[in-house]
Formats: sequence, C-alpha cells, structure tokens
Amino acid sequence: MNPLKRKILNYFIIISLVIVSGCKTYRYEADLMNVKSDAMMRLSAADDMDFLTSHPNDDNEVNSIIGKILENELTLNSAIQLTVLNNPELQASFEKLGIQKAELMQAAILPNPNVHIDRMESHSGRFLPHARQYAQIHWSVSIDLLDLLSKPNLAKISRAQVEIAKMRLTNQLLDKINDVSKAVHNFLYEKKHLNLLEEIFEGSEAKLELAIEQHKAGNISDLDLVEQEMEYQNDKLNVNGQQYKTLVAREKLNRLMGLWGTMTEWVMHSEFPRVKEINLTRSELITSAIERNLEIAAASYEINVYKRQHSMNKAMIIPSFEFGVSREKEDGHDPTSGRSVAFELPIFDHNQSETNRLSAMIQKQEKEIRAISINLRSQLKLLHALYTGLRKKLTYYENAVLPIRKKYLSLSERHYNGMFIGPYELLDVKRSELEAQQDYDRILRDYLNAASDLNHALAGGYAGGSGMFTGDVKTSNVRREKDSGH
Amino acid sequence: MKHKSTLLLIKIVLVLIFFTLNSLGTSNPSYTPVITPDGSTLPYKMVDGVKVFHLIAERVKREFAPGFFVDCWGYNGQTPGPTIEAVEGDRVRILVTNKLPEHTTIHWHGLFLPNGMDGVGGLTQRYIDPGETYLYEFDLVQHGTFMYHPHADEAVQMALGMEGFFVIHPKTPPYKVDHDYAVFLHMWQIPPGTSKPNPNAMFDFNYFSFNSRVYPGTAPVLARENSLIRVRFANLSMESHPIHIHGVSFKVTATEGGDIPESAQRPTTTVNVPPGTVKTIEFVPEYSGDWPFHCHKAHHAMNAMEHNLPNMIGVNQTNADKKIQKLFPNYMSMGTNGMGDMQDHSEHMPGPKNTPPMMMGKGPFANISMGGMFTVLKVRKELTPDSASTWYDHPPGTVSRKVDIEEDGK
Ligand SMILES: [Cu+2]
Repeated sequence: MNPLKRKILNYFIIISLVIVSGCKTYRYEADLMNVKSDAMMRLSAADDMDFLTSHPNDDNEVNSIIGKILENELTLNSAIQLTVLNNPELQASFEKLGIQKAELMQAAILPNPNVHIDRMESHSGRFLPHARQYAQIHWSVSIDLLDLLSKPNLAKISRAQVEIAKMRLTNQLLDKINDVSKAVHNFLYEKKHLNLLEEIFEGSEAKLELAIEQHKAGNISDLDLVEQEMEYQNDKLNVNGQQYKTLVAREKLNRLMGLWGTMTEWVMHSEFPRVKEINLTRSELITSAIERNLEIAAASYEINVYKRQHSMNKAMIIPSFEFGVSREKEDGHDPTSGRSVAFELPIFDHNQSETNRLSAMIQKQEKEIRAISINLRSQLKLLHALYTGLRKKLTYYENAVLPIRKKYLSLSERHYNGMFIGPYELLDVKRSELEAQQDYDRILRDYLNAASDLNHALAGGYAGGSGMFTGDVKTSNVRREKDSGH
Repeated sequence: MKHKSTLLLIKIVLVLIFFTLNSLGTSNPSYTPVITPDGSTLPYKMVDGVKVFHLIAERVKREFAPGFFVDCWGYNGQTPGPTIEAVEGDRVRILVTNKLPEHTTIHWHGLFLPNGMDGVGGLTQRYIDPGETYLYEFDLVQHGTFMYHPHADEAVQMALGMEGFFVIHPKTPPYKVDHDYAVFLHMWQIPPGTSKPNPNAMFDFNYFSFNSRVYPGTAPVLARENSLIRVRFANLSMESHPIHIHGVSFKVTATEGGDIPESAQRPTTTVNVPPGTVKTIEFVPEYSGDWPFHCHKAHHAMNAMEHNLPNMIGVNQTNADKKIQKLFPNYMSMGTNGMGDMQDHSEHMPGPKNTPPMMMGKGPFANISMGGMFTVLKVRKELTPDSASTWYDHPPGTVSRKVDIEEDGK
C-alpha cells in the first residue's frame, strides 16, 4: 500500500470514530413535544389545553406551575394539566422514551471498528548490560462489512421503532387523560352525593329533634320516637360511608396527579364540567375510531419493521464478514502492512431460526390487529348505545324529572302552609327531591364518563382486550411489555 | 283586592234582597216570601190554574268563598237549586229537564202526593235520561218546609250539591213573620288544590256550607230588633249540624213532618239538624249587634283542615325550626301554642290553589278566624241598605276591654 492510500485510510478511520462518538448525545424533547401535540390534535383539544404542548425545563419550573394551579379551585382542565405534568408513571414513560430512543438509535449507529495494537519486545541478553534489545509494534483496524452495509436499512427500522414508541406513549398519555377525566367526574359525583346525604341527614336530624320535643310534650309514643331515631341512625351511617367513598375518589385523583403532602389539600370546583355533544352515528364512530386507533397503527408499523428485518435476514447468508487493515513495524525494519478478512461459515447456523421467528411475529401482529378491531368494534357499539341512552336519560331528567320534583317540593310547601301536611311529610318530600338530584348526578357522571371514553376512542385510544369502555372498569394501558422484535 | 270586590258584591246582593223583601212583602199580603241567602226562588207561570215550574238538572260552577270555585251539580245554575215556593191547595206542575251526563229523578221529600210522583228511580218511575224532560204534577195538600233531591245515584248527585227547598205556605197563616230565611246545610270533601267534590267520601269532609257557601262567602242574616224571624234549616249531608245562634233564644216550630204544637216548643239557642230533616225556628231578636250564627261542631266552622297532622301543641320547635330552615328558608313552624296565628300565617304564606285558608274573616277588632258554617246575624234597630256591610256600632262602655288588674280589677 502506498503512503497516500494509507493516509486516506487512516483519516477515514479517525473521522468515522469522531462521527460515531459525536452521535452519542441527542435530545428526545422534540419527540416528547411531538407526542404531546399529537395527543392534543387527536383530542381536538381547544386552546385551553395548550399546556399539553408545553414542556417545562426542569423540576423547579414544574413545581412552580403545580403550585400556581393548586392556588385556585381545581377544574377538569387543571387536573388534566397536573396529570400530564406530574403523573409519576407518565413522567417515567416520558423518560423511558429517552431510553427507548437511545436503544433504538444504538442499532443504527455505525459499528465501531476493531482496533488492535500490540508491542513486543525482545528480552534476549537481559542480564547483559550491553546486549541488544528490539521492539515490534503491530496494529490493525477491522470493521464488520456486512454490519456496515446493513446500516441504512437498520436506521430505517430504528426510526420506525422510535415512531412506534411515540405512538405507544401518545396512547398512554391519552389513557391517562381519560383516566383523570373520569376520576374527576367520579370525585365530583361522590362529593355531591356526600353533600346530598348530609342534607338528607339534616332533615332526619330535624325530624328527630321534633320527635324528641313531641315526646317530651307527651304528644307521641315511645314507639314513634324510636322510629325517628332509627331513621336518624341510618342516615348518619350513610353519611359516614359516603365520606370514605369520597376519600377514595380523592386519593385516586391524588395518585393520578402525583400529589402528596400539603399539595393534597386542593379544593375542586363543585360543578360537573360541560361537554360538547358528540353527534356521530354508530358507524361513523366505529370508522373513525378504528382509523385513528394508535394500537392498530403501531401494530401495522411493527409488521412493516418485521417484514424489513425478515427480508434482510434472508439476504444475509453469511452472518458476519469482517474486513480490516493491519500494519506492523519492527525496530530496524521497514514497516509492513496488510488486509484481513474474517467470516463465519454458515454451516450449522444460517440464521433460519431468526427468519422463522420474524415470520411468526408478522403472523402474530396481523392476528392481534384483527383481535383489536373486533374487540374495538364491539366495545364501540356498546359505548355508542350507552352514550346515546344516557344522553336521552339526562335530557329527560333535565326537562321532566327534576322540574317535576321541584314542583312537587313547592306545591308541598303550599300544602304545608295550608296545614294539609305536617313538617315530617314536608321533610320527606325534600328527601325525595334530593334523591332525584342524586340519581341525576349519577346519570350525569356516567354520561360524562361515556363522553370521555368516546373522545378517548375517537382520539385513537384503546380500551384493552376485555374491558368495557366505561364504568369503573379500568381501561388497560397499551401493551408496553410487548415483544418489540429484538 | 279580592276581599274588597267580594264585599261590594255582598253589598249589592243584600241591597237587592232588601228591596225585594219590601216589594214582595207588599205584593202578596198572605205570606212573607222566603229568602234563600246566596240563592233564589224559582219563578213559575200560571197555566190554567196550575203553577208551572221548570227545573233543569245540570252542572254548576259555584263560588263557595271569594276565589274558591267548586264544580258542582245543581239545578238552574245553582246549588242548592232555587227554592220552590207555593201555597197549600195549589196544584203544581214541575217539569224536570236532565242536562246531566247521567240519569236522574226528583224526589219531593216530605210531600204527600201520588206514589207515582214520589220520584224514586226504578221504584215509582223510569229514570230521566240525559236530555229528557219529565213532568211531575200534584196537589199540595199540606204546608211546611220540604226538600227536593234526586232519588237516583244519590250518593253522587247529592254529594255534588243537588238539593233544594220546597216551601208550602199555609193557606191562611195564623201570623206573618217579618223575615223568612231558608238555609241548606251541606258538607263536602274537596281535597286541597282541587275543585271537584269527592262523592266517594263518607267521612273526612273538609267544607261545611250554608246554601253551598262557606264563610267568609256566606251572606249575613239580617233582622230588625223585635221583629219575628223564621229560619228554615234543611240537611241532606252525612252528619247532623247543631246550629247555634248568639244573642237570641228561639223555638223549633216545625219539622219537615209538620208544625210542632206550641205546647211542645221549648226555648233553646242550638238546634240539631240531623240528615234528612228540616228544622224551622222562630225568634224575636231583642238585642242589636253582630251575632255569630254557626254550626257548633267546631270543625264545621272552619275551612279545609287536615286531621292527620302531627300534634304540635306544647312542643318546643325552636331548634327543629333552625334545622328545617336550612332546607326550607321560609319555613315557619305551626301549632306549638295552638292555631290562633294560623290566619296571619296563611295571609303571607300561599297555600294550595283554589283552597281558602282554614280560618278567615276580618272583624272590626281583629281576625275572625272562622270558616265553613259560619255567618253573622245582624240585628239592627232599623235595617238600611248598609246594614249587611257595616259592623255594629257598640254603645260606649259595652265592649270588653283590656284592663290593668291592679288598677281596674277591683
Ligand atoms: Cu255542622
């Protein structure tokens, strides 16, 4: 090899090393922003959710935003903001995106060349001061040529896998937003229910008070008094039970929003949020939910990846082919240089098992997509029926049931004024009005949860294999632990 | 406002009664025509020496008290139906047209007549179907106070107000009264907030009426000092009514069965009028004033009252009030010290629609707090058109007054 050629080869090696080491650092914030703005777009979220696209620089900034949010009454929106900002699992997943990206990028990085240097010394005449000594230096650089050739393909695969990871993260983010929305609805319901039970209890307290005084005055029997005491006790126990349920709902929110210590002393705006009506036919709903479903998209993306891997794998009959240059210098001699080639002989392992594995993965993913679409269709059918049914019921309550209860109450007051009913009966009427309100609140909560699930589905979310969309069934997260093909 | 216009209406009616009284009194010297307060007398035509009357059985909307309208059944637009007035020896022909949705008949309660004219559906005649007119014709062979009412689906038709007086004056009255009043006693179950009497009721009636009016819708009864007053009470309700009049002593002079011999008449201040009977009383009021005239069953002198209310007499409701006011900000407890405050309460706390408060009436000194079978016998030295609408002017020193027991109680 002539000196010029040698020099060029040496520089190439050095530049490659520099490039490789330079690529080791990169930022994943841009990908995170992608994920968040994708979620926002998918939810067709209004401007009041633009916090989704912001990304605080450090923990201090996060804490000051949290502090500010907690100064005011919490709303559905601010609860979502806190969750996106502070939900521990979500934060971990955000960080995991960095890890995943690094891992995936690693696969696309050019392989490092093998550098081998050795120096050998002669030790003959070691104990003789004037004996002649000599040294021999040998170095070689080699690189796996097949690895190098497959890099552009691998880079494509890696980019695809980063995209898949982002889809899964978006899915998780949407899932959490849905979770926290339903947790807010549920907390509001439990709180309202508690207030109603407390009001009902006030009524039975008043009735007991009256009964005690009537009894004292000799106007009612021991039996009548005991009946009133029983009602009072039942209502008191109901309040106690509901206090715990409210606490459970509150703690669920604390967990979702990542709050602890004094941060959990928040107050929430007591009215249910208003939501836009979703006016889609069942088939429109199913079409767009399937079209936008992130899990189906991720799975089909994966199929492409496997297919690419599969064809690469088939093409590579020889698993490795190493090519290198070496140079040797011995004292007192001219340096010598040469090339080396090393490869595996595919006698036993010609990669057939990996090829088979990839074909199986492709099959598996295709079947999973089918399973997801079947489940999703069925669940969306139910969800659509649930949502429209609840909306009808809600309208009926608003237009008919509640006004009639109000009327019942005001007419009863008139009958009380005319002395046609007594205070006990009047308080019972109040109780029935409160109970109707309680039914209404429950229907409204279920309706809001169904709306939230619908929006979740329309944004591309998925409710897992077995679960119904709504109610207290936990919607499962994406299959994060799924075999990613490596 | 309602109150004012009612007073005006009462005034006009009384002025009319007053003049009718005077004019009729002069036109027929043989008897003093009957006054049916809040009602009327049925006109007749003479046809070939027969007095021909026409009764129309029909639905009637009756204002029991100012603003309180009741969907009744009656005759000729009224309940009680117009009073039929005739003289012993008359031959009467009464045409009865049925404009009700169901069949009816008319029974002439207490009259002696051919059996086929007795008006008992199925037993003595065919029913008068809707749209049909039947004729009753008979001679009046007795005198006294009688009633007419359906003898067909009685429980419904009488409960809804179908009844009326049939007064037969004697051919030659031994004496003449100055004022002759007829008051039909009735009771109704009209649930608060409704307008239709419930004919299914056997107990728990909540309105008690004089001529299908409840106080303060009842007209006052006017009397001149030292005049001879007759009042005929008839009762077709489910209970008896002991009618008590303040300021006078009276005698029961007749029933629907005939005159009571003078020797059997005893003085009293209360006459019990059982169902199906007539009691005629006569008295000479000697003392001017505004004297209550009412049923002595306390609950019958009240308007709609619920009887199953919890008993709050003597119950300290202070703490309960505070608790209930959290749920009902306008809540006011009632009944701790009695129901005396009820009238004030009802004036600023609206009750059910079409339902007069339990206690009503404004007197010259305070609330009168009555209802139902209650009116005022107004005895005056001379009757004037104003007598009905003005309060008695008490001579100085004749009204009970508050005193300081230390100073004045000796
Ligand atoms: Cu009575």
